[in-house]
Amino acid sequence: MDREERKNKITHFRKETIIGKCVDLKPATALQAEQIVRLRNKPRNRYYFNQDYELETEGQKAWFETYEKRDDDIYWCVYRKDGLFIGTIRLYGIDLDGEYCEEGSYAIDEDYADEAPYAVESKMLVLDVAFDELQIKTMINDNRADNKVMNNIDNQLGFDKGEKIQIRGVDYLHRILKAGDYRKNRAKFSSLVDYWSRR
Amino acid sequence: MTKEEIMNRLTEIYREVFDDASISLSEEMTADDIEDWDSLTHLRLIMQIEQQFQIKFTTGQIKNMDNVGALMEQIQILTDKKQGE
Repeated sequence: MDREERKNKITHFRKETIIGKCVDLKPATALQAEQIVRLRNKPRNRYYFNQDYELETEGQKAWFETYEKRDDDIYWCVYRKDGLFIGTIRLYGIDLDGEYCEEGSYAIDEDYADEAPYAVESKMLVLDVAFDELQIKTMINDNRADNKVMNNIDNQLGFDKGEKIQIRGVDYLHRILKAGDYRKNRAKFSSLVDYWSRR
Repeated sequence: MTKEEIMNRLTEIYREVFDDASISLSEEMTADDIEDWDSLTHLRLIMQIEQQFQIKFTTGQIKNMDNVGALMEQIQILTDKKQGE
C-alpha cells in the first residue's frame, strides 16, 4: 500500500462507522465534545490519563478544529448497541509509510465496562483497522504502569512487556505490538465477544 | 447440585481461566485475592461458568456477585430453577 492509498483509507475511516458485535465505533466529532469531556473528567479516567485538570467542552471543541486538519489520526466514540455513548478510542501518529502508529485516548465508562467485553472489542476493532486495513506493521501503546486492566488486555493481545518510561512524572509502560503477534492472539478474544453478543 | 460439587467445578473453571493449577477457592475470596482477576477475566469466567453449568446470569446478578460465595449462591439458585423446569 502506498502513502496516497493509506491516506485515503484514513480519510475513509474518519467518516465511517465500524459495526462490531457488542459495540459500534462512530467517528468522533465536535458534536460529541460534551460526552467526551464528561467521560474524561471522571476521577478514574483523570487518574489513568494522568490529567491533573478538568477538561472543558469548549477546549474539546477547539481540539476537534485541529483534529479536522490532521491526516494521521482517527478518533472514534464507542457506543453500546442501544446507542449509549460509553467510551472513546483513537489511532494517532499513523505513519503514512505503514511502519507504526499509536493507540490511545482509550476509555470505557466504568459504569458499563463489566457488562460485556466492550473494552476488548473496541480495541480489537481498532487494531483490525490498523493491521488489516492500513497495513501498519507496529502498534505503540503507552499505558500507565499501574493500569492493571489495560496492561492485562495488552498482555493477552500479544503486546511486548514494555519498557518503563516516565510521562509527566508518572511511570508508564511503552509497549509494542507486532501485526503477527496480534493475529496469533486475536481468536481467544473473538470467541468471548461472540459469546457475549449472543447472550 | 451440592455446594461441594459447585465448588469443585468452579475451582476447575478458575484454574483454567487463570491458567493456574494451584488456585484454591474459598467462599470469602474476591477479585482482590487473585492477581489477574480484572473485568476482562471476570467476563471470561462468567462465560465459562454459564457454558459449563448451562445457566444464564442477569446483568444485575453479574454486577452484584462480590465474592465466590455469592457466585456459588447464584449458581445454586439457577441450577435448582433449571432442574425444576
